[in-house]
Amino acid sequence: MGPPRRALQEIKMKTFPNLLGALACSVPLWIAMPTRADDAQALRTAIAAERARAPARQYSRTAFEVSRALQSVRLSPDGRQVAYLRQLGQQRSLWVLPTTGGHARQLLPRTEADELYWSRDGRWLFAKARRSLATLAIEGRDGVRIALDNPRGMLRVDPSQPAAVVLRERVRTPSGERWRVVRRDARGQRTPLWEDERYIHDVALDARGRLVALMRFDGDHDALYRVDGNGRLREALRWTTIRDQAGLLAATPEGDLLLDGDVGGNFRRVLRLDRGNVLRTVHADPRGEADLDRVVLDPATQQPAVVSYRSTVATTHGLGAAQAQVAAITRQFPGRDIGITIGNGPGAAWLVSERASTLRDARWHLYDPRSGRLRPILEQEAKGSPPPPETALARKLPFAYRASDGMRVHGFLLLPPGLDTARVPLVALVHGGPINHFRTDYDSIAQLLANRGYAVFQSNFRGSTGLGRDYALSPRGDYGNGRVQQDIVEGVRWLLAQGIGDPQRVGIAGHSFGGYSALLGVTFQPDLFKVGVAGAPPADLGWSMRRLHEFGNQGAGAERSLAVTMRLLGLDLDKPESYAHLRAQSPLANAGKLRRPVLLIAGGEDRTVPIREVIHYAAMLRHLGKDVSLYVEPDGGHSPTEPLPRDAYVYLMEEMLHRHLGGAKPESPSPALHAHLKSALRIVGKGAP
Amino acid sequence: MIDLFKSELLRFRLWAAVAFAVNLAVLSFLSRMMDLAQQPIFIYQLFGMVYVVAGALLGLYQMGTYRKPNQWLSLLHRPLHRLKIAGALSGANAVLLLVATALPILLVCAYQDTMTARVVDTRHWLLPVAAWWLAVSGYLAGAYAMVADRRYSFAAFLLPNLFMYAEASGVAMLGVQLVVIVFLAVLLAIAFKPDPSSVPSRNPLAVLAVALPVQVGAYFLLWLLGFAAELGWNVAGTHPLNAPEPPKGGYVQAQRAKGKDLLLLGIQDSRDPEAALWREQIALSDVYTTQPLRNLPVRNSLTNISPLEFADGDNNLMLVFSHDSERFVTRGLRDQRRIGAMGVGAEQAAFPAPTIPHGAMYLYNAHAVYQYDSEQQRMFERARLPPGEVMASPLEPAGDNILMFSDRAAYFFPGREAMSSLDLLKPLMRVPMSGQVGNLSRVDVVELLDGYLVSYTYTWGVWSGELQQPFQQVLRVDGDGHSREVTRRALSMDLPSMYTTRNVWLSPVIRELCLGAQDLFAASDPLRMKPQPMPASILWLAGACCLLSLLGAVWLTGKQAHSTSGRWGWVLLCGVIGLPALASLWLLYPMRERLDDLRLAQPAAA
Amino acid sequence: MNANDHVIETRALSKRYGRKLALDNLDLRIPRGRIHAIVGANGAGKSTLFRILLGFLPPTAGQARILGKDSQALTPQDRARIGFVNEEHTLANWMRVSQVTAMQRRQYPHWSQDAFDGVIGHYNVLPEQKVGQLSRGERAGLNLALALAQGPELLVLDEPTLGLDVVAKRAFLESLLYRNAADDCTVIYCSHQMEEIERVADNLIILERGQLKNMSAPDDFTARVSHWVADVPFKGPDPRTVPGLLEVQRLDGLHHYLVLDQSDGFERFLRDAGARNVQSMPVSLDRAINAFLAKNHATPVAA
Repeated sequence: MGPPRRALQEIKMKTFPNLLGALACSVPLWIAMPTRADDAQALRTAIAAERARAPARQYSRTAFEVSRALQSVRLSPDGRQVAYLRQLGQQRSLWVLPTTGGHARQLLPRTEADELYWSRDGRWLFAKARRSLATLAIEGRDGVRIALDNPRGMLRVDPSQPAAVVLRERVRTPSGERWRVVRRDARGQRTPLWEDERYIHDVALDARGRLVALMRFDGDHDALYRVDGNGRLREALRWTTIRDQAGLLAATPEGDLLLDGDVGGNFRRVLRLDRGNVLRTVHADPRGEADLDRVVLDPATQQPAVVSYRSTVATTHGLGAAQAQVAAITRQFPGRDIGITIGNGPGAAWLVSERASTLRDARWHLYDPRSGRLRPILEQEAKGSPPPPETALARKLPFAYRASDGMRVHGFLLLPPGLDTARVPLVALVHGGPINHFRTDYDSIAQLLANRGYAVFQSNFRGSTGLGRDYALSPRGDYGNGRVQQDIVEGVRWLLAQGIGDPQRVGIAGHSFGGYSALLGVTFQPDLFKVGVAGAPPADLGWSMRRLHEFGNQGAGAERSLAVTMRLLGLDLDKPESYAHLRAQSPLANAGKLRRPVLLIAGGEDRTVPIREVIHYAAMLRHLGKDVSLYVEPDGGHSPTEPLPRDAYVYLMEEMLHRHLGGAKPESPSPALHAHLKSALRIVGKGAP
Repeated sequence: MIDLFKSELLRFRLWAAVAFAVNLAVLSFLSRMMDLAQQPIFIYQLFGMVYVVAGALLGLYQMGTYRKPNQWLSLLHRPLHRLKIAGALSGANAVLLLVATALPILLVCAYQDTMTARVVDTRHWLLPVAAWWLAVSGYLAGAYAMVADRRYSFAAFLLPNLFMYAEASGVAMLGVQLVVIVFLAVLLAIAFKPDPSSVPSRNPLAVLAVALPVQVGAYFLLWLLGFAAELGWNVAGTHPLNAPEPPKGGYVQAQRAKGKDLLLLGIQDSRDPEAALWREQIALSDVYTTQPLRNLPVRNSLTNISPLEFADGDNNLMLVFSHDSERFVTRGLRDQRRIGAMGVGAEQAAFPAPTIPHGAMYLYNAHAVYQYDSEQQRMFERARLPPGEVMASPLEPAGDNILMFSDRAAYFFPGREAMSSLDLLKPLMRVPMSGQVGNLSRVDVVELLDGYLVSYTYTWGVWSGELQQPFQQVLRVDGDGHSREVTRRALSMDLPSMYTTRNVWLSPVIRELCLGAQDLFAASDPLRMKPQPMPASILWLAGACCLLSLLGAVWLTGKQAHSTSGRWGWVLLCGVIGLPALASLWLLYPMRERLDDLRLAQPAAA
Repeated sequence: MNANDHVIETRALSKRYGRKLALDNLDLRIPRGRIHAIVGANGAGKSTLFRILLGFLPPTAGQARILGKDSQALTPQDRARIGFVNEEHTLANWMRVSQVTAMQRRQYPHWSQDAFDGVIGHYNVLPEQKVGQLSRGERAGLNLALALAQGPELLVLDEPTLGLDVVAKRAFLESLLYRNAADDCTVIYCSHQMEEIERVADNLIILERGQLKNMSAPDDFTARVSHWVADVPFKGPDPRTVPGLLEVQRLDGLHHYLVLDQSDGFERFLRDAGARNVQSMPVSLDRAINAFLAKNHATPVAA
């Protein structure tokens, strides 16, 4: 028998991080749009540019899958080396490339790690796998293996020590859990820093390694505490969180705390809390529409140096001393989404990542701050299966439109290059969550659909994240066939009015909440949507939320509360009347109204949207004689992760849309896929091959 | 007597030495490779069989050499009571078998106890005794088979077979072995005389003792003929169970059906307004099929159902359940050093019963399910049955929730709590079971949006005639645990009742006797059911067979040499026991030797 | 007659094997003392008789007593009084001579070491030898020594010299006679070796087809058989008309008749049949028994 703990952990792993997960395919990117996106004229100009491009040939489904050949590319603080993981088949290896030139060196021929961290002194690597953290000496063969009790047990690299990390440990007791923060140095030496009965999100350490502040989940809100010399807590801030936790960036020698979050404002930004607990904004989106996406610290000062925003248009800015250099770099990559890591000291190399919506796999460069020269690296290593050329891929066009209630709603549009936009079929893609958003980056499903000749509308309907706290909270519980669905429908109608898409050939697709929205679309807007593709769709969102709260893996957790989040969104799980409308407007309760064909895709072990909910709905549709197809990945979770089920997902979607909207015919399934579909396709819809 | 004993020791000492060496070598080798105290039961059964067979071969060979007429005459024609001679010979061989079987086990046991960190419980120290007694019973059966009249003496080999079926465990099992040994010894004593082929005429108890295994043997032979009949059906291609499709509505169909199909069969005649939707749901859903346990680990049993051990590779720990300390004894997985013991929870409490690993996550015993947490290196009780109920199936996933069965009810536990905590889980619902768990062959569960459809299929025991009314019951369990019966479907038996119940009508008395022997000294097992009463037709058939046998005995005893009381005793016995008794009568007694017919025939022969 | 005067006594003893009668209404009384030879063709019923007498076989009908005891109910004490030596000389091959001897010595209350030594002295048998390593003759000797040392009242020797070479046979007989065994016990000696019987037997018992055919001193039996040589022309008288005929042969034109229980009257019969020359000759025991046993027709003869 295997050790019981491993099994437990694996199951937890499967079920843990998928909170209302989006359709899984993401690498950040941005697209250059010279004009404000709410300007219809600007969009028309962009559309004309797309129209003028050469049409693309059809690429195979696998060409759109993001390559995993290169992962976790990390610059050492001293800027001398770049560490990265290489994946070949099932085997992952760990490499180090000197930035001064020369060949990369293999450090580990085989590793389970999925994330790399450098020690502050640059002499150690911490390779984090799901349940363990391995320390590796760059010179020599030393190292230890530290067990992690969960994949998120790593808090940060300890900035106060040459080579140490700060970990969160869970202590299980028969009556509950306790949380410990400990320092583990590269030799495995363990130093307890804090123990709490509540979940610690993050900590800040001073230069001497003392814990001076912590962020904690206090049951119905998050709070930032300062820790005094006697270990007493003083609350400095409190706030509520919808999705992304606030983070502690650093403690300054003067005792100020640097953090990122949306505390005290609408947008997520870089904040500074001084000793008097006065909060100041250090940097926010100059465009005034996006939440902060990522902040990079200067290893020399431990101060924020580079910030990036990626919700509508990807921009990256330098702070303080880095400002000029960052501007110099971004100038060299017009229209690209740039990520920058700074090396310690004037001569140290910087690492630059380059992404775009038309660039399937990221590119990497080294920047010499003294000469201002850029040098591409890891070109060979990044090579996996050949990506479709950028000339064949659709640019993500950000735009905004006025909803019927006057609110400005955001979205992206992808157009097949070189086609008559008025005659192409249109597919509305709805993201999951709904607490999530479409980003500027490369998106394999949207790109594949565009390649097959569909105009693709990615709706960041109200309630989406990344666009400020107010935007995210604006639905006020009106999910169902309500305000949120209306945003999507109105987005489609607005695009049709702009001459985009054939009004007779419109479909709707999405995963999780997006799948729910797709079902709503084909149930309540059959005149608009001729076909629906719904992945892991809750057939009754009210039932699903209640179940998630009571029995699911996202109920009252140590680190967050679904009930609190739902209350923020206007749904009180303790007051059934607050979500009774969801039941009445659910696709399940209105199954009899369905007139359009629908494809349902689900995972047999989905812990977020239980399979029984999908099956109950499918059975109901069958019972009523509706045109439904059902694919169930036998051991699949909330989203498919294995290549074959992913291929099945995309193929079935492609085939369904082809059959009902007339996009390009999908390439026929491989024998393996054919065999898989034979067993996993539990209902074959009318007219399916 | 002592001389004969020594002489016999002398005779086989080399064999015994070789057997000792081989046995010790095999056990030592295996002991190097694995923990012989923690093997699944079939390993022990295999060794047990080897010991029985070795003993039997010894008995057959030894008595085979003595049973040649001149040898037999010179063995028994001496101024020693025949029982002393028998005692000397069998006693010597018992000692030799002790050396060949028990001693090596004892040595390995001692090695394991003193030189390794493996668990050696009191029960393990009884294994040498058990092995020795197995060999002795084999020896006695072999000796008796060779000494007594071979028309029937080989029936003695049936007796050691009881060990395969006996329900007793631990010291009680040694008791069963002792009973068999004593019985075989009595048989050997009865037969061990100058003329072993003659049935004792004066002592009715001795006659019964000799006749009993013959009757049981005849009973089994007749019963086995049933399988020959089945073979015939197979060859002829008319076997009802070998058709590509099993008979509709029968128990074989219910046993073989996939969970999905069985649930559909279960509700095919349902008029429930939801039935149509259920049919669609069943067709699309995953069905969770559970088969109840048939055995639970018993404290101080000599063997294990399966090894009571598991490894925790992360902490370099091997955990082995000790019956003595009622805790898991821990040792280093790599260095094999003894570490300590682990009970339940922080207080390291004793487990209430031997606890066995189940699947990748849990451990269970008759009363509760546990989870081992390697982070804390601690055992947590996860689910507990109310007093008076015993485990019929430990935790198994059934969609969102986790399912457990006792002998009385199904329990649904919250899957989230099971995954995210280590607390004692509170059942979300308890659904009582309407049938007997001993007849339950499978449970098929399908999740509905709110609750479950649960199908209980009661077919266990149809083949052996212990269950007369197999049926399938489908329950609708709502989200609060309220259940109602949707359908109850009687299943047909597929094979003629006369066939499945032949073990009854062939001889109700012997069947009772066999069941009694099976349960000898055994504690009652809540997972087993008493056989259901037979239909009247079968009882009439049994009566008719007894009558037939009685009439047959009247005729047969007339042709055999019996005293008057002996004759009518046999007639009565055949009337009570039935055909097996008649068969034993025929085998035990030759036809009376007469001279009158021969005298008449003589001139013709001259 | 007191039963004790007969070591063996059977009354109407019959034993049936399937369709064959091994003992046919046998009435046999063997008086105490002396050496009695039992002779019979193979299958005459000798072994069956002994098995019944020792209680190893049940009779089909009739009774058998040995040393005055019901042979079906012999006690260990009874068995101590009866020695039995079979033709195979079954002894534990794996034991040493000394061990076998020691075992017998302890089992038999009337053990006579002298008797044992006296007999074993005729053989080159060492105590430390394994029984399995002894020659057949040595085994026979050891067996006889063991049997005699038991001090039995009745000693049954069943073909004790079967398979022995001439030298061994002689040694066996000498060791038997040297001990004057018959002084202390009654000996029943079964054998096909006529010269042995001639040497040892005081009484000759002939069994045939389970029936007693003769019981007398060997000389008396020899006297009952006479050999006639007659010069009979042509074919001679029809053999069926020849009284007491055991065997007829025609050699060199002369008819040789072996007849049983014929006196001078037989000469007259021959002459009446046309014999010109008639001569009577004595016959050896060997010849007499062989002829008696070889005759293939049953002639009712009173014992």
